[in-house]
Amino acid sequence: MMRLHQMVKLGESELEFVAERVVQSHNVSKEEIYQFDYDLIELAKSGKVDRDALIRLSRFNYNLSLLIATDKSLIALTAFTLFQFLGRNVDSFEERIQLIEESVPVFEEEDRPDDVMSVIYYHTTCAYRDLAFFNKSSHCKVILYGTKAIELIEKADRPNIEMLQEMHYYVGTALSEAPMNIEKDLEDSVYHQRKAVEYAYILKNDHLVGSALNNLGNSLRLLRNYRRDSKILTEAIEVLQKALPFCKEQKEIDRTLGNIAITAHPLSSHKYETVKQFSPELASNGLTQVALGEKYLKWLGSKDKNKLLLDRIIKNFCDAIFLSDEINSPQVRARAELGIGMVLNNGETSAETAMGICFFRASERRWRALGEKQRVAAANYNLGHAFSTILDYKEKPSYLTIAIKSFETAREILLQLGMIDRAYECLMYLAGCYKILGESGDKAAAKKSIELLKLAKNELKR
Amino acid sequence: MNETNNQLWAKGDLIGGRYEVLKVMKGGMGIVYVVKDHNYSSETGLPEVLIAKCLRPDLAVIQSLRMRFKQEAALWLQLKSYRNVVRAYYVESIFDTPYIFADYVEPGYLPNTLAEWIYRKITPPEVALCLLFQIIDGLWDTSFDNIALHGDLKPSNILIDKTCTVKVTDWGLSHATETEIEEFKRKGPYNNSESGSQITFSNHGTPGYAAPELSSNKLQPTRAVDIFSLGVIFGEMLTGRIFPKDASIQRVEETLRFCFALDSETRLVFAKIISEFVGSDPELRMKNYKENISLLVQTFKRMTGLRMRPPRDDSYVHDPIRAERIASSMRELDISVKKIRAFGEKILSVEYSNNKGED
Repeated sequence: MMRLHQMVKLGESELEFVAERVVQSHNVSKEEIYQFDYDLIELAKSGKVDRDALIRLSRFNYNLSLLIATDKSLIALTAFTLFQFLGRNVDSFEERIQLIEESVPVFEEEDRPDDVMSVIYYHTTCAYRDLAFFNKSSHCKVILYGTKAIELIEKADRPNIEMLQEMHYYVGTALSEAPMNIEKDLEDSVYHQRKAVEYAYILKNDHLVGSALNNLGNSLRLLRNYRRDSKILTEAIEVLQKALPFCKEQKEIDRTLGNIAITAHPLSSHKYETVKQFSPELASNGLTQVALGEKYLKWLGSKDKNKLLLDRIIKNFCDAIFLSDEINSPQVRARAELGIGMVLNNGETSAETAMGICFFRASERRWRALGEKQRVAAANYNLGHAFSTILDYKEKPSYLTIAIKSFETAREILLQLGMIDRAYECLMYLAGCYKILGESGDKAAAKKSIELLKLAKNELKR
Repeated sequence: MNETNNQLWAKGDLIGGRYEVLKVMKGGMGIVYVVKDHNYSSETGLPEVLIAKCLRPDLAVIQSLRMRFKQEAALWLQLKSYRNVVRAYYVESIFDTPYIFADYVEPGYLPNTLAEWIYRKITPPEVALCLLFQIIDGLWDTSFDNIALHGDLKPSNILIDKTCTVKVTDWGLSHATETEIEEFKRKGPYNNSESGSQITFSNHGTPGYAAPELSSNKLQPTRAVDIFSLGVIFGEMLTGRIFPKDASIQRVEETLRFCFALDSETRLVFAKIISEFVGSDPELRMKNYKENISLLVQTFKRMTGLRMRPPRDDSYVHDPIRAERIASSMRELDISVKKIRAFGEKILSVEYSNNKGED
């Protein structure tokens, strides 16, 4: 086998090639793979090699162990090393879960020492926690492994308070966020969040105290759904108010104020006013949800199909719509409808595009009534795209005409608002629509397309 | 009776040594299992993941209900393949319990039942109309297949696949009322299970969505039953509320005022149509049906710019493999095609005459 330092610069495909050659030549032993794994960890500790190289080499070693496929323990070890190197990166969530599911059961069978197992369970909980952000069903795993981790960490002579705090925080949150949770889950959630607060105080970490208090307040609010006792809500509000001084960043303050508003409004007969009083800027969790959805939508890129991310985006928008009625906010609903429309318009079928158009229209109707010109322009811009791409050949000319109208409306508003860049984009799309019409024999449209391109050229010069 | 006959399967179980249970969903009368077929072969043209629907184990012992489940499953099997209809493939008796195997509508990014869409409030008027037209398409298509009516249209029977295409499901499966089941249980299920119960189970639909004529013995149910349900569902999509029978235009219109920024013209059109659909006179519902639908089509076009597609000629896909499976299922059920057709035509009249007899 080649030496580690020689392999650092090899790419993914070259390493695959080396792995195959090594296996074919029977030139590798289990001991060598163990040693390679150990060396990799040492190399990582030295900090001399970047993370990508470590992932490549670790994946190479893991593949080797799979190709030999004689030793479960070896596969589990290399899988766990790769899992650790992958880090908490959004692209690697699913792969990390696969690796952890491969290795943890083997470690459990091997009856490893408690301190080792507590670290393994800790990392496993973190991995599922990351995934739970997108996929609610992972909460159960967070609860399972987090509880195991807590039990083992607490057994130690000198428990690691940081790990303990994090585990209580994750388990408490998972219990309150898990689908189909029952009263007992929320009671447990409150217990874990109280513990998380207690340890956060010991650690003297303001950020952790603020977050844990926030989640404790939320768990208490949810517990109130089962127990019609307004004292629970009063305690929740007190806890959330305690969190405020620990929030340093504006978004943390907004989040806490939003939580207070949501918690407080069932106590008031003037729901929207209560929400506004506590959180005039962010007004509600609804706005947080819609803002999150929009943020993730930007991560997606134009034709990206990251299923987990899309699930999360839609969930954010749906939650925002659900909350928009509670807080009487048509703005939140209109933004979320536009967001859902954008996701659907990214789909591959005409049915999805048609449904996307329906959501865009609903959003546009609301923005018009609210007099929000810029948003009307955004809705029309998206409608233009949707109508110009819908795959219905029979209706193509009439749909293109609607696309043209939509782009024109958007452009007109954007010019009024002085948003010249976006107006220029609309002009280019308009030219494109006329060009397609021209190609189907409409001479006037073809002429118009050329005129618009000239106009675009002039605008670009300006 | 075989012990396994009365069994509730759990996730991971293998039904009949072949179908692995992936998910269990319990309804009022039946249980739906999402199953993976371990004998799957791409050559059969059938999907690997299906739903297997059967009666609840405590009801499956009731001979008359089982018989009716089989007969109505056979009616569902007769439906051809349509874009807006859930396809049923075959019926198989496993441990003496009949299961109907049909398409599994996998959820996409959005929920996969209309009930969930309504609950999540993601049915603004434009979206509601788009969904409504697809439900109507499904009903229109099946009208050529000897299916007189659906009879139990409700949001949980309307599935939405990952491409946002509506699929109407649960064609003609048994729906007994709780009172009927209670009455049966009181008299003792096991005494009657083999000899055949004297109690009849009628199709009353689901309260709230069922047309009034279904619970009265005076009128013969027609397609107007489904129009009533369509009215209720449309109203619920728009407002989140279930309009009662004979809700007046004024009342519906007032409720629709809560739809933000909906212009008065559209509001009036919706109010008129919902009010006519939920009227208790089935003849009146049918009378203006076509005009009402074209009015909705025009309104939809005005609101969205989209044209509603007329029912398509190409929506029937000839499928010889499925035809063979259906034929073998018929044999399995031991019911001749003739009998099924007769049953399809008479199903409700027989029940109603039975009810009259009891009175």
